[in-house]
Order: sequence, then structure tokens, then C-alpha cells
Amino acid sequence: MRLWGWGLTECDPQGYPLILLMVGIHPMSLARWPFLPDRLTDVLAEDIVRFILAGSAVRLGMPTAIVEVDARADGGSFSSHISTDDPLLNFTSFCMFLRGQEGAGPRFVGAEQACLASDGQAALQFFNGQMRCDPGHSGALYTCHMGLYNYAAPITVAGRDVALILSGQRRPENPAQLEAISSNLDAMGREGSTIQVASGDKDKLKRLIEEIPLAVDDPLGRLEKEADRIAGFANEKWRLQKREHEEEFIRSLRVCDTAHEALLDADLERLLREAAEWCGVMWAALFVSERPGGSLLTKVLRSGLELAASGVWPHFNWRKAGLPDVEQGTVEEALDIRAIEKGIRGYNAPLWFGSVGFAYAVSLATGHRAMFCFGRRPDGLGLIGESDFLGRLAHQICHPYLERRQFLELKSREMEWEDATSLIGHEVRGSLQPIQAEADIVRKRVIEGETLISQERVEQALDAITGQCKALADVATEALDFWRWTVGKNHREFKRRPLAQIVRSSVEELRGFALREYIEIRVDPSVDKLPEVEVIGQTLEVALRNILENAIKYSFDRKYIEVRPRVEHGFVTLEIENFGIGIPEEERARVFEKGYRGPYRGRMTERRGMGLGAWQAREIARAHGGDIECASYAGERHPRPGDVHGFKTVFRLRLPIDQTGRFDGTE
Amino acid sequence: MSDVAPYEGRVALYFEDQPEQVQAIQDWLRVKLGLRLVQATTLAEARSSLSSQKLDLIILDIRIRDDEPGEQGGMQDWTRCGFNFLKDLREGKFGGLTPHSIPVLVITCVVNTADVEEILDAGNTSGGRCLYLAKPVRLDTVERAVRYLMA
Repeated sequence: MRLWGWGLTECDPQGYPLILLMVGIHPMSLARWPFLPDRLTDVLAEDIVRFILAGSAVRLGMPTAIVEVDARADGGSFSSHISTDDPLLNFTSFCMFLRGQEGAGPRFVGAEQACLASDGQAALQFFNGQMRCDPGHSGALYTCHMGLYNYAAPITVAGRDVALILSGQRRPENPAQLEAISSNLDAMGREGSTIQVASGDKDKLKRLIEEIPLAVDDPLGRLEKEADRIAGFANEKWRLQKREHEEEFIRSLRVCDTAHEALLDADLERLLREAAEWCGVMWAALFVSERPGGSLLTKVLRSGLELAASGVWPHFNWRKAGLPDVEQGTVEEALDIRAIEKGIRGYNAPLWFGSVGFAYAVSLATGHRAMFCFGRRPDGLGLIGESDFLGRLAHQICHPYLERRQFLELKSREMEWEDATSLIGHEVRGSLQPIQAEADIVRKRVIEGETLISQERVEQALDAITGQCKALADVATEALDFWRWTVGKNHREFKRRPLAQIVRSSVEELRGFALREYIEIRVDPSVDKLPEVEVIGQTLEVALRNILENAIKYSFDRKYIEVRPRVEHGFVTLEIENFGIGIPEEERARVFEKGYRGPYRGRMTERRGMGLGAWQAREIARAHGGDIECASYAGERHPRPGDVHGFKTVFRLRLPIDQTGRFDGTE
Repeated sequence: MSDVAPYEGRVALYFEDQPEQVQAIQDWLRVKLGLRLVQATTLAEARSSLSSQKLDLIILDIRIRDDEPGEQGGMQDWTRCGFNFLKDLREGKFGGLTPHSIPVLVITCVVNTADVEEILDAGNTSGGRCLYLAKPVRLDTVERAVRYLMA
């Protein structure tokens, strides 16, 4: 149990606290975030409540008590009764005599119980809405079981009514009401009454009625002020403790320091699980931009949510959610439900945003972005009021993760450049070698008069030099493409273009090359029905060309390549299938590595390339929020004549239809 | 000028995955030194040449793209394919008619000092001699290197 202390910073003239400075932790029974109190004494110790209450009674000049209700119970239920230690602050002389607290022993057996029951009944009626509040007031006037005037005002902590402060025991001025008190006294001791009467005491009570004071000026307003004061103490205390617990939890969250993205992702999923469990929400998920400055947040990391049996997850569109596209600085804000509806798109999107309890957007100045979603709580508790903590929680998880990703990306970019530089150097030197050697052949014959070299060989050497010059130019083009792609990563504009046109023009560009290799490219007519997609410049043509070129290179001749589209779950999939040497299973992942080339096939007249095509195609697909995969099957339909078995190889280029565009405000 | 065709009847293997790089060297060494070059573009072809005939010299590239699986079953690192071949050769892993101390001329794009040192270390062991030339290389240089190695 943890102790708590408090100090007075300001008192009224009687020495009762107006403002309390509270320190430390009270032994609260609030076990689960957001630590909502069910009762006032969950937040403030009963002794403290009693002490504060004494101050209220003195300031009000009326007897005062507090009745707690259990906020968990439907409509509230009576929980406990708290009064000050000083009977003079609790009762008028009438009530004190009635309850037997004046003189020796109770004169009216059951009177105290009836009084407590009356207070409890008042609390239940108040919280059940059976007590009508006065206009402009949160509290209400009521009469007790004896007919005295009383006042009630709720004490609200963390938005919950956890107690009712009662004050009053005032004499009504209305003669009919006064008569009612006498009638109540007369009824005591009769059959059916819970109060036993001692002889001769009724007369004293009737005399004491005259001594009951009348109501003070504005009793309800003053009582409400006291209720607010107590609630203020309790709320401050609650916030302090809540904040301390929350900070402690946030401090405990750490993103691991790893150089592997997979481990980083696993670590983040662990953090999401911990956050979801701690907050008592049904799930937590994070959308992350795959590249800096990308509007598409396609990477989905999650805990406790499985709404994509197909493996296709929705995505979050930063721009369509209406979030600012800042070049400098960061964005950190809680999103309203409308922004979430606009932002979450694609497969199962309505189910997702339908179960979001809270969402928070985070971005770094480098353009790395994330959207943290919390699912709803099973108890239906709204999370918007907790946006301060949930925002800090999202910040604590997202920032280190995004910064780590940024670091990994820079590192991989550096390695990419190192690889590419080495590859380009290799290709340039490789192409220069035959030029040098063939030029030497020419020199030997023409300049040095070497007769061992024939005129025909000289002509052959000149042809080879010309061919290699072209190959060298191709290396330069490929290197330039690579440079543009990597350097231009952060400055890509999306424009809506018809996919059919992109497919057709890419195919037409390679049709001649394919025919020279005796290969026909067949395009499924349904391609023309494909929707427009948002693409970065001409990059999609480059990706398609790269895949088609490989399909041609590694096809058997006198066969065909098929291009087929498929539209599902907000994505277009273009299948490019060839029939040829195939790709063994163990090599399929490597096909997309930089520098990977299939086996040389001898009959190729074109340069073989640096092995950047498939890698680049995948980079392009991913920059569009899509991806590429490849599969290869033993081909039984078209076995090649001879001893080689053919394989069907399919490259599937998947692209989102409607996810990359700018938010135009019309949706 | 040295005698024409001093290595008539001798055979060299040129292991290089890009045939266009071989042609001029092959022709020149044949007419000038009488040396016959057989080409291998894959590891399988290179091994087959080693076991099927007695070779007098190996000319070798280092960065060779070959789809043969590596030792762990996955793809081997193509940037070290020729280097691994050279190491295996010197360790006598190939057997066959060719001695593992056969002279080796490495003609490659690899220019990194550490890599070159590694190549020369691996090549000049087990009694074998190894020279390294960086692409692009002149025919005269190749010829001199071959003469040195085969002397």
C-alpha cells in the first residue's frame, strides 16, 4: 500500500481547507486504465473527505453529509454514508434529539437508521433522475422522511457522479409543510412505524421544530460550490495518479535497437499488443508509409485484429484523410471519425473504421508517416477524452519506430549505391574489354601490318567494337535510370492515367523485339476495361517493360507471352505469363535482387543488362502501393521438343486502383 | 618479337560468362602463340573441361553469373564465383587430368585492393602461379602474361 500526504495551501477563516495540495499516491482500487473511480473514496481517503466535509458544513452553516453511490451499478446504488466527526456539524438540535445523540442513549429506536435510509433513498432518486433539479442548478431541493428541507448536489469525478453532498435540515416556512412534520411525529410509534417512541419526548420534539433554522440565502448554489470544491480536489488527485501511472507505462515502452526491419516490426507488434492490453482496447494497429513523403500508408502492423483472411489489408491515405502534406516540421494530431473514414481505404475498410475508437497521425519532417489506430473498448468507453494520453502513447511508439526505419532506409540506400556503383563499374569495364581487345586486333593488322590477322577478322573486330559501343550506351542509360529512380525517390508526382493505355504502349514497344525472338505477346481484351490508376510519371511503363523484356529473354521461341488483368479488392493485378526456362523455387526471391540475371542463353542478340530490371520493377510497384511476385510451374502444356522441360512463369504486378491520388475535397 | 606459335598444341580454358569478351583474346592467342582456348560460361562447363582434358592454363573472370546452387543450397554469390572456383582448384577439389597447380591468369573488373590481394593469395598457393589483370586489358599485355605464366 502506498501512502499519500497532503498540505493546506489556503483555508477559510475557520481553518477548513479551500484548496488542498495533494502529494503522493492514495491506495486506490482503480486497477485498469483509464482508472475511472466508481466511488469518491476510490480517489480521496475517507478521513480526508470527512475533513473537507467539515469545512463545507462550516461554510454553509448547515449540517452536511456525503452519500456515495456505486457508479458501476446501473442507475447507481447506495454505497456509503460519510459525515464529519463533529455531531454539531451534522445535525440540528431537532435531528440530534430525534437520533438520540443528545443525552444518554437513543430515545427513538430506529430513528438514526431511518435518517440514513432517507439519505440513501435521496441519493438513489437523484441519480436515477427521479429528483427534479432546480432550473439553472445541477442540484435539487428535497424533503427528508421527517419533512425537513434538504439540498443535494452531485460530486462529479472523471466525468462520473460518484457521490452526492447533502445539506439542509431546514424548517419550511410553508404552514402545510410544517404541519406535515407534526404529522410525521404523530405517526411515530404507531403501528407500521419503524421508529419506537419514548414517552413524553414527542412534545419536546414539537418544541424543537420551532428551533430549526430557516434556509440560508441561496442554499443550493452554495452547496453546489462545495460539491465543485470537493470534486476539484478529487479530480486533481485522480489526474495526478492517472498521469503517474500513464507516464510509468509510457516509460516502460521501448523500441528495440536492431538493424533488421523484420525484428523491428516484430518489436512494434509486441508494443502494440502491450498498448492494447494496457488500454483495454480490442486492438491496436499502425499504418506506416513505405517511403518518405508517400501518401500511402500501406504497411499494417497490428495486434488483436484479424479482418483480412485473404492477406489483403486496407491502407491509409494521408492526403485523402485531409492531413497536411508538410515539407518541414511534423504532424501530430488526433483524427476525427470523418478523417478516418476518408483515410482508411481498400479491403475491409468499412469494418476497420467502423471499429476504430481513436486514431492518431504522426509524421516526421523527413516524410515518414504513421497512423496509429486504437480499437474500441468492450465497455463502450469513449477514447476521444483520452486523446492527450493516447497521443503521447502513439508518439512514444511511433517516433522511435519511424526514426529507426529512417535510419535503416538511409543505410540500405547507402548499400544500394555501393552495390550499384560496383555493378555499373563492372558493366563499364566489361564492355570496354572487347572494345580494347578488338581495337588491338585492328591496330595489329592495320598499323603494325600483322599478317596473321585476316582482313575479314578486322571487319569482324570493327563490328564488335560498334556493338560494344551500343552496349556501353545502354549501360549509361540503365545507370541513369537507376540514378533517377533512387535520387528522385522523394519527389514523385502522381497523376491519374488509364492503365489500358499504359499496358498497350508497353507491349507495343516490345512487340518488335519479341517477334525477332519468334515470340508473340497476347494481351487479354479485358485490359481495355481497366480503370484509371494514379501513377508516377512513366514509371509503370518502365516496370512493365522490364518484366516483359525478361519474359521474352527467358521464353522458348515460337511461343507466346500472355498479359492478363484481374481486378479485386481495390487492386488491379496484371499477370504476365511466359513459357520458358522457368525460375527454380529457391531462386524466386532472388529474382528481385539487384544484379540478378537468369542464365545466359546464347541466342540473345541484345545486351544482357545489369540485372536491375526486376528489382526496379518491384521498387516501382511498391512505390505505387503495390508489389510484384513471381511463380513458376512445370509446364505440361507445351513441352519443348528435345530434352528440356518447359516451365510456365507468371509475374504478378499488383497495383492499387484508387489510393495514391491527392485529396481533392470532393469525396 | 618472340617465336610465332610457341604453344602450338597447348590448351587453355577461358572461364568467362560473357563470350563477347573472349573472342579477340582467343583469336590473338591462337594466331600469335598457337594456344587453343576453350570457353566455359558456367561452372558446369568449366568443371567438365578440367576433367576431360589436360589444360595448360586457365584464364578466369571473377564476377560470373551462374545459376548453380552454392554450398548451402541457395544461390552462390556471383561476385565471388571465379574466386571460389580458383580456391577450389588450388585445393584440388576438381581432380581430373589438370593439376591443381596449373597457372591461372585472372582478367577481371575487380579493382578493389583487398579483393585483388585475396585473389592473388588464393592463386599463388599449392605451387601454382597466378597473375591478375584488370579489364580493359590490351592484347599485348595478355600475351605477355600468358608467356610469363607458361614459360
